[in-house]
Amino acid sequence: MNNIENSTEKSAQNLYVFVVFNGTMDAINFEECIQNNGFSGRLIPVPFEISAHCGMCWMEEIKNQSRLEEFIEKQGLSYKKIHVMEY
Amino acid sequence: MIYFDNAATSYHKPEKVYDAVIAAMKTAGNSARGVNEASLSASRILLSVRNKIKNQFNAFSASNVIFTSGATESLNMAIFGLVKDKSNVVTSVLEHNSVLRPLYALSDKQLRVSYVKPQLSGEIRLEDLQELVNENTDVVILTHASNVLGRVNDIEKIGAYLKQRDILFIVDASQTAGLYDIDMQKMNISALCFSAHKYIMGAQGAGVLILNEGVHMKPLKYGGTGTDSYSKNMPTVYPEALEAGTVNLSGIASMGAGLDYIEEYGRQNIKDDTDKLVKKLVDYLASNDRYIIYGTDDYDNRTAVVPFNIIGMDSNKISDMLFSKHQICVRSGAHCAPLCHEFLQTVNSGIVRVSFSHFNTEQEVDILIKALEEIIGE
Repeated sequence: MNNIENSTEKSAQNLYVFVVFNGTMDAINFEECIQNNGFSGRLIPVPFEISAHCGMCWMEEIKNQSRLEEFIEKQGLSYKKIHVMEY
Repeated sequence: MIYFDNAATSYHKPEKVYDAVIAAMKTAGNSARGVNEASLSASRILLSVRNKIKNQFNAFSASNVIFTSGATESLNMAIFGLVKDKSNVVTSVLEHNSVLRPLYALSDKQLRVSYVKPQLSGEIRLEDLQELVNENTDVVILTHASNVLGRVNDIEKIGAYLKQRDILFIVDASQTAGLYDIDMQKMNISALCFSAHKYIMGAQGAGVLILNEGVHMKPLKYGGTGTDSYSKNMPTVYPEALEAGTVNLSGIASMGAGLDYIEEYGRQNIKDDTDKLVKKLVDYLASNDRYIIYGTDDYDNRTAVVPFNIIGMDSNKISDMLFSKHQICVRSGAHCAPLCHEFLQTVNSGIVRVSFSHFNTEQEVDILIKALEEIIGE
């Protein structure tokens, strides 16, 4: 998990984890794999703070960050970068 | 009307194919254009069908399953994308114009193109291919089965030979996808091309190009992908790199439904059903010396086509008589395979091609036989 960028030093209030992907297929595959595993996130358009390009990312509650990273690792899910920031 | 032109396109579709088209049209937006339920629904359909295709054809990765408008586009992409300037290409006289015309269009690239000839059965033998392959050959393009003769080629054997020599292998599986097992890894296929609408029984206007591991090409089309929008270049990741523009979602959904149907009904059951029809017609044609039958008698290695002629008759006239008097649809003429007809010396007559679906019945074949007897005056 070395693709993690923490773009804010603010309090945990309104902080989320954003998983950005290399392409749409990876995003949809991610969504399919993560369902029914106790995560509360969803796919959203990539916030401009991360990228002005079009595309989608997975937004997850900050409290699930460690579990999410473990899940990604364990499942071998493909992604480009993980960001932590306010939303 | 009796429809016997399934090698051109399937006419009778499984109910679930119709349902999939309607469901996609009613529930899905445009994949990767925004992140809303309609768009996500489209993306989910695409992922689901990509995964089915990956599993069915043992593709290297679902992301290497590229959706196209059909086998013609897939073959154009593969040929324009993989054949380089001064390439030494080996192909066959059995190829469809969807292979031949792209190669002719590349004539200013100083290609060297050799055409292997099959046996009269339609079989392309490895030893005949080997005679044309030399140290400069970098691409081989072959049909898995001729759309005229229906003989299925041993592409596993050919693929193994080409792998040893590090030669790219482009396979046109238009006539076999859905009817025969195709394993890209076992057969060492670099690029596999087919349509949804023939033996997968999907809708027209959808097809697939599957690239194996390490096969990279420049796109044929440039445009929007819903990603990397400010980049002047196409994305480099598959499938986006080769899927500019809006894909034919309902056609792709129909392809997924067709694959589901084949799995449920059983590919071998489909083959057995069509073999019975082929055998019934071939047995009849063989019983009368007014007919010339072309192609193979090897039922383990043939598709559901029966090519024949009536001695002294124009194939177009036969097909017209079959339709105008008996409402039977068959295909006559050149079948977009000009070199095959030159090889068979049937340029002046064409060939009548009957091609079955497992939805056809023996009663329909009886009606065809009766119609043919009327035409030959017996």
